[in-house]
Formats: sequence, C-alpha cells, structure tokens
Amino acid sequence: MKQVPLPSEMRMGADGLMDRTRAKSMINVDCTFGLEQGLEIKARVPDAELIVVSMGPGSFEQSLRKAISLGYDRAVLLSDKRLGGSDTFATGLALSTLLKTKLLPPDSKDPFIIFAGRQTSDGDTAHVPSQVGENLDIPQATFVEEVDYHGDYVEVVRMIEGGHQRLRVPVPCIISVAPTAIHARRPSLSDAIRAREAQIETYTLDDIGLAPAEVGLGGSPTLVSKVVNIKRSRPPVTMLQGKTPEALFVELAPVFDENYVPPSAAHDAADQEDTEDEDEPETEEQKAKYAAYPRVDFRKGAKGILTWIEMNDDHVAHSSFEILNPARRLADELQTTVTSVLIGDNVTSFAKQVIAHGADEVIVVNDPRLKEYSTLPFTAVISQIIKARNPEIALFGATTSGRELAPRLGSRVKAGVTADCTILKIGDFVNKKQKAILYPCLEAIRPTYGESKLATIIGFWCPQMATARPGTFEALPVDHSRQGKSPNSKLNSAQKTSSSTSSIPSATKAEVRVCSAPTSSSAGAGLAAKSTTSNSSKNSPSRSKSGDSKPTGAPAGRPSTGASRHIVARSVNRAKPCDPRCTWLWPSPAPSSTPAA
Amino acid sequence: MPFEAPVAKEEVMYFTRQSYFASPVTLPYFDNKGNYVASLGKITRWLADIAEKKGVQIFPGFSAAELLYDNGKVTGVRTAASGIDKHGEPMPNYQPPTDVRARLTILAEGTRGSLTKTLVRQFNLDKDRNPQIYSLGVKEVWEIPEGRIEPGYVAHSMGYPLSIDQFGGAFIYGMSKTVVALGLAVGLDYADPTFDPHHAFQIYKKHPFVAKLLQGGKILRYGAKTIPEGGYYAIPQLYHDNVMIVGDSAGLVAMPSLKGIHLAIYSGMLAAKTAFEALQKNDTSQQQLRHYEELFRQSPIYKALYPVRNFRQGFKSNLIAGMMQFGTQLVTGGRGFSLSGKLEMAEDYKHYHLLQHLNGSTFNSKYNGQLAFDKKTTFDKETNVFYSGTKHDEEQPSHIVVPNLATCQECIEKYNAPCQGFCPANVFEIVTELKNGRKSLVLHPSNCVHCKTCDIKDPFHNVTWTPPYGGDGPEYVNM
Repeated sequence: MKQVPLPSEMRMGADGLMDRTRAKSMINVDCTFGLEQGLEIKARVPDAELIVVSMGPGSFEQSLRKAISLGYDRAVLLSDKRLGGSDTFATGLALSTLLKTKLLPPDSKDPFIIFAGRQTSDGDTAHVPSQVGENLDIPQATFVEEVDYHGDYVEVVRMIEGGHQRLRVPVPCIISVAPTAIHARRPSLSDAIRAREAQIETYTLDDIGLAPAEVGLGGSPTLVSKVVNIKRSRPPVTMLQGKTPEALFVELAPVFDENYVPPSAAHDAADQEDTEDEDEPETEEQKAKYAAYPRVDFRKGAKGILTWIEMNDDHVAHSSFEILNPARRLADELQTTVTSVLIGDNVTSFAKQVIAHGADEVIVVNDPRLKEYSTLPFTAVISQIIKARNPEIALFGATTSGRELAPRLGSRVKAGVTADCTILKIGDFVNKKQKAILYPCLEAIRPTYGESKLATIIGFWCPQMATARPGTFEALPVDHSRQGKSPNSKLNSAQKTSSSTSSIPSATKAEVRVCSAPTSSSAGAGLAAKSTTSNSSKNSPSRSKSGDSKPTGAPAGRPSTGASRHIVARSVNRAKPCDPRCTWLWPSPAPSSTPAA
Repeated sequence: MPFEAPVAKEEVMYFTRQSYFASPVTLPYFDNKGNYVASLGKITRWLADIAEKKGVQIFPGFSAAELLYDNGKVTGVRTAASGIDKHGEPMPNYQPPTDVRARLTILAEGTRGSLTKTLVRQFNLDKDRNPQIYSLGVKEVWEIPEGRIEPGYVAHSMGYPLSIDQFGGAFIYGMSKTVVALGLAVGLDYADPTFDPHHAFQIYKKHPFVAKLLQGGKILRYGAKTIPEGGYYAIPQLYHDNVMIVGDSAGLVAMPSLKGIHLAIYSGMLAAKTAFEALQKNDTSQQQLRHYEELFRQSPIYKALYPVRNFRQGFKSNLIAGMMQFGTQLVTGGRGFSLSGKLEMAEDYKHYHLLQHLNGSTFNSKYNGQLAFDKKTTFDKETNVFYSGTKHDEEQPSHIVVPNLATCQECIEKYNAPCQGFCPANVFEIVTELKNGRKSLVLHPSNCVHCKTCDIKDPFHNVTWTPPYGGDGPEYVNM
C-alpha cells in the first residue's frame, strides 16, 4: 500500500493560500482495491493474518491505521531516510527484502498471497508489484479485476488488450489489482477503535539488513533529470451552441478540420521555452565549464536496440509496430541496429512484417507452450536474449503485458525501466560530481503528476528500458522491400534461442506449462461459461459474452503438474484490434512529432 | 478561540421590493454587543481538539443507525452497516455494524435527530408538549472585494422576499474584510406548497442592498440547516433510563435572539455533570438522571428560554400580529394573550393549503419572472449543491426513504409535490413521462445536504430521513 497526495483536492482558500484544512494525503486509490482483496480472502479464511505493508516516511502511519480500521491485523512500515530517491527497481528490492527478512514464513509452509494496487496516482508506473514478485521469485498476475481463491491457487481475471485472460496462479504469488475490481469496504467502528491503539511496526534498512548503497539514488537505475510543466495537455473545451441539430452541425463541422496538436508536440515547444527561463539558468561560465568535461560513454560495450513484438491472438499487436518507429530512429542516431524478439507458437511468418515495419533483425522463439503470453516464461526468454546480446536499449509497448513484463525483466537483468513514455530521444547528461558528460543517454519522457508535468527519466544501467503508450507513435510506413537479416539467419538465431528455451522450465518453476497448446474452442467456452455462472451478477455484459466470441487459448492437453499449472484462457471482447487512432474524439496523442526514420 | 471578529456594527432592517428601512431602535434580544461572529465548523473542530487532548475519544465517520434496548432500556447504539447496494443487498465489501454498548448514552445528533425521534416516540417523551417546529436556513459564504463590509458587521432583515404571513428573515455577517456569510431562514409552518426557501434566498440576493454587496464577488460555500424553534414548550423530557438528549436534538434554541449554540454547549456541560454523578453512584436510572432537568431549570438555558416560551407561536398568523403578540409577552413575562400561559402550535407539515384554494396566488406565480439564475450571484440548486461539497457513496440504499409512492400521486394532485420546493438540494424531482404525461417522483439522495427538511415538511409525512454511510454528506468549510 502506498500513501499519495490528494489529487487536485488542494484548493485555494479565501485568503489565496492553499486550503490546508483537508487531510493532505490519502491511500492510493488502486491500493484500496488491493486491500479489499485481502479482506475478501479473510472473510473466507478467518484464520488468515492480514498484514498491510508500506514504504515511506512516518506520515504514512495514518494510512496504515486506516487499513487496520478496514480490518487488517498488522501494519508494517519500512521507513528510512536513506530510501529517499529510490526508483521502482530499488523500491521493489527494499520491499521484498523487508518481506523476506521480517514477514514471510521462513519455512515456506505457510502459504501467502501478496495483493497490491495496479499503480499509484503519483508514480503511475505499475512496476513495483512485478519487481517484488521477481525479487521474491514468485509468480505474478497484474491488472487483475477478479480474484477467486481456491486454497493452493487463485484464479484471476486479468485485463489484456481487447479482452481478458483467466489465469490460475499458484500460491504463493503476487497479484496487482485494477481499480475496476471490488471497491474497498468502509471502516468498521470496532476496527477504527483498534486502529487507534494499534502498534505500527516500523523497520529501518539496518533492521532488514539492506545496504544503503542498494537503495536510494545510488541503488536506482533510473533518475529524473528534468521536469517541465505541460502548457497545454489537452485541447481546449469549447461549448458549441445551437438550437437545432443542423445549427450545431454548422458549428461542429469546422472543428473536424482543425489540426489537433498532440501533447508531445506541445511539449517540444514547452521544453524549449521552459529551459530558457528555468529556475537555475546556466551561466555562460558554467556552460563553458561543463563543455570542458570529458565525454564518457557509459555503455560498457552494450550495443543495439531490442524490442518485444507482442502477439495478440493471430496478429502482431499494433503497439509493437508503433514501438519500432522510435526504435528505428534511435538506432539510426546511434548507428546501430534494431533487433526484435518475436515469441509464440509458429510465429515465424510474422517476422517479415516486423522487418517491413523497421526492424533489422527478428529473433523468433517458437514453442507451443509460448502461444499465450505469460510473464515468467516470457521473462525467461527475453532475459536470456538480453544476456546474450547485451543491448543498450530495450523498448516495449505499454500494453498491460508490456507494463508487467518490462519491470520484471528489469529486476532480473538489473536494469531500469521508464513506464508509459510519450517521447524517446538521445541526449547527454552532465554529471557534476563525476565532472563528466555521460552519453548517449536514452531520454525517456513521460507525463506525470496527473498529466500536468513531463518528466525526463534517464539511467546508466544497460539496457535502458522503456515502455511506450499505445497510440503515441505512428507505425512506420510498411516497406516490404526492406531487407532485414535473411529469414534463414533469423531462423538460425531462433533455433539457437529456442534450444535455450529448453531451460525455461527449470528457470520458471511454477509456470512451466503456462502456455497451453492451441485448443478446441469448447474448452475455452467451458471456462467462459463458468465465469458467467459463478459471477453472473457482477460480470460485465461484455465479459459474459466471452463464451460466444472466440476463445483462442485454453487448457487442453493439460499437464499433470497439478497446482503448478497455470491455466490461460483468453476472451476477446472487441472484434477488431484496438487502434487508438480510430477513435478520433479521444485526445490520444496523434503522432506527428516523431520524425520519420 | 477561532472567532472571526467581534460584532462591530448592528442593523435591523425591513426590506421592501426595491428598498429598505432600518429599525430606529434595537429590538429586545437583538443586541449582540460583546458577541463574536464565528464559523461553527471551526469552533466544533477546535472544541474536538480540546476534548481529545483531555482524553475523550471521538470517532467521526460513523453513523448511529439505531438505539439498542435491553429490557426496554437504552443500552447503546448500533452503527450502520456498509457495503450494501441500492437494493439493500449486501455486496462483497459488506462491513457489518458495530454495537456500542454503554451504561449511559447521550444523544447529540443535531437538529431533528433520527435516534432522538425514535426515543421520544418510544417513551412518549413529548407528552403534554407542543410538537417541535422548525425553520430552514439557507446560507452562502462569499468572498467579496475589500471595502464593502467591516469584520463583525451584523445585519438582520425581515420582509422581502417573504410574504407578510411568513415567519423568517435574512442575515448578513461580516467574517473578515473580504468574507461575508449571508442567508435566509424561513419558518417551515408556511402554507404555500410552491414555496421554495432556496429560490427565495436567491431572490433576496437580487435585492439592490444585497446585490451591491455581492457584485464582483464569488461564492465559496453553500449549505442548509433546519433550526428547531418551537422553544420551551416543545422541549421533550430530556432523559430516560440510561439516556439523555442535548443541543439541537433537544430543541434548545432561543428564537428572539436567534441563538442556540451557547445553549447547546451548556446542555452538554449539564449532561456531562449529571453523567459523572450517575456513573459515580452507579445509577443511570431516570430517577437519577432527572438531575439533568433540575440543573437545566437552574441554568442560563432556562432563563433564556422561559420568558420567550410563547414567542414563536405568536407569529403563526403573520408578522405584524406576531410583533404585537411579542409586545404583550414582553410586558406579561412571556405569558402573552393566552389564558393557560401556553400558546399551542401545530406541526409544520399540517399548515399547507390546497393549491386549488390558493387561486393562483402562489410563490411561484408571484416571483415567476425572478426564477432565472445567472450563475454569478444567483444559482440553481444543482450549482449550489456543488458548493456544499456534499459527497455520498452512490452504491448504498437511499438514505431518504419514501415508504408510500401511492401517496406521492395524491400529493402531486393536491399540492404539486412541495418536496420539489422545500428541498434546498434538489433531492426530489418530479418527472413527467412524455408518452402519457404521468408524473412520478425520482430521488437524488446523493445531492442531500442533511438539513432534514423533508422529514419535517412533507405534507403526508411520507419521507423519513435516515443517516447515510458515516462521513457522507456536505463538507462545510468556514460555515
């Protein structure tokens, strides 16, 4: 659980000062949904112990007490000034160290489930659950809307692009809950009385035996190098007036002809202006001093750009084509190549498309068990490729899958991830302490603080990883004449990798058989039918229909490993793949700022 | 003390449509010299802080849903359960109620207390008393340009836009050089089913005197509250076995001076004293708690209330007659014209006239041209509701209960549904079906600002106000 500042609740009082009569912070909204899932399980398993855990300053106590007033048994806070500046990587490490040393049963006899909120309102990354899961070496499910507890496993419904996945996750595990799940209950008076007296167990880094160098700024692979205000983050609202539909149409028609300026473009303008009148303008003297610093290439031999090509049913997710646009541009600037990883069952034929969209090389990994996306095996595959290729940059589409895969990978290969970027470019960083100019940095720029600011995130641990929002970049024009590495050589490398996939099972433990073979639709329909009967009241109509649409992956050919099985069913709500640019009215940034490669 | 300003200048005025004249003399009981202008919200927070430092535990955010009885005696309260959907079915996040068992329970629920109501009924505590009657006060806090008002300025006015047969008046209190609170309080014994206290307040703001004050300013807050103003004869027996009633729930408001807060605080102190003795003696029976009433009779509350015991009743018919009655009461020590010494009063909801008997001379027809609101100085109810900061969990059973929808049809025919008018937050909406013209009631309970007028003024007593989930409701800042 995390405590966050109240969003936009701060109002100007009559005296022109900030109205501070309100409480200034609250439990992060997504976290309340995570808290509720714990309480749901407690209602069914009364002897379960509910522990709420947070990391932050002592002021977090009020939120921890709130959690107790909801029905939690214990509250634990990791609080240490030396944790300041920790990014999600370091936070994941610190939290999992706290769990390992102080909270989790040492003999692993007591099963446990960790619930978390999907993401926070102030950080917005959705990374920490994946990173805690990686550090604890337990399976995960993120963006979860429904949880059904079965003792040694939980069955969850997880959001994916255009539909839902139904997963069976063995216990112990970590589950991040989306704010479309069950709302948190209200406090009860009896628990509120208990909360007032409750002891908040507080630990420091020394208590959990974590070296200060491993957290804080020093232990964080990413850092915020610049924050600028977004001058105009969305088009102005105009109220059209007219008494008849015809009159309104006359008003409305010209609006369609106006050019929409995407936030990214607005930022470019804002960027230039704001750096002029920055609080700490660099004097000519300083500039000269910095210019004299030696330029240091921090990459230590890392080279090349890696992207993950996400398969969505029987086609490549559009976001994966989009990400090839910045990848191409960055590669040209760095004079290096774009390598894409394509994982699935029998997906070699899609490699041509990927090359036509801008990749230089495609590593294809085919395995029937990899047909359906699942975190652990995909993490295993890509981390092996990253170790073999040592890329300087790795890019992912910020789909629900990309947003959990990237941070899990980051924690595995010791790399920093920037979530949900809207601008990616190359820059230098003046390190005043080292008296050096570090280059070439990936400047991953993303909106933050409720889209009011744009933060530039950089890092010097390779690969520099980032996810980009679907719809931010335009896919490059398809060029079928592009010659990537010949398909044969790709196949070779694919074979090389797929031979190494034989090591996946051992690497991923519980989730060996995550991906089931292609199945008859009856199995999928059966699962979907189950969801409609067991949860008929709260199932959204669209999801209930899933049985009628086309379930494409389901647990046929079930392996005999029992609890370690991880069933994947997928239901597709929308007939067409989601292409954000189709929906004109939504101000999703149209990609005009990205120069073609 | 979190006071805004000492009272600096006082005015009593009578408003006509376009003008006003000031009362040349300060009316008895209207003298506020030595008093302060204050925000009650700030004072209660300040008091709570002191109480907590003394070891009192306060748990805000929980509503008491019902009284617990054991052998016919009160033994505590039960909080409301939460996590219940609109249809009354428990949801997965259901949170069961908590029973708070106590040797002694003191009800301090504010005006028209929901538990107090049931307690009074249960033990017939209002025997031989007048029924409690109420005013509805509608109020806004404004920020205005400096130089128009002095901190501590206090103005009370009667007249426009209220008619001569209505009890009520408006107030303007200067809280600082730039912040002013103003409002209109109207007796709920009015007879016109189309009367709308909120709209009357908006019309009041268009009066040149007020409009000049507000011009170029902006609204900060809006709120509404009922005031129990039945006076001495409407106070129920304030104790029973294991239970006492204090403050607005007890109806401790002195009408001529328009004050009740100091009486409420005083009653709390007396109840605390009684409770302390009772607990020490380990006797919380009504014989022991009778001491609360004895203390009450010796206290300044009694001295404030008894001489004006017939004040409000005198204004039943109209303002002039009320003033004359009040004059006789002043010289007779409060007795006035009555032989028994006690003027009777009927409950507020019994005063309505049938629409057909009003022959079109209604509030709505009289102010027909004035009911457009510019959203700068005057506001519709929805806009005002926004400024009350009210919030309710949408997923809960309606806390405003209308048990008999058939009665609504009768009410629409006879009175054109007065709920549309008396509710200052647009909780009640009458919708007309396009196909057959049939009218029916739609509730918007999440608009509610907790004034409880509906519980008081529905002509068929067909509305019960119950507390919603704890912590839901208006957020009154600087009110």
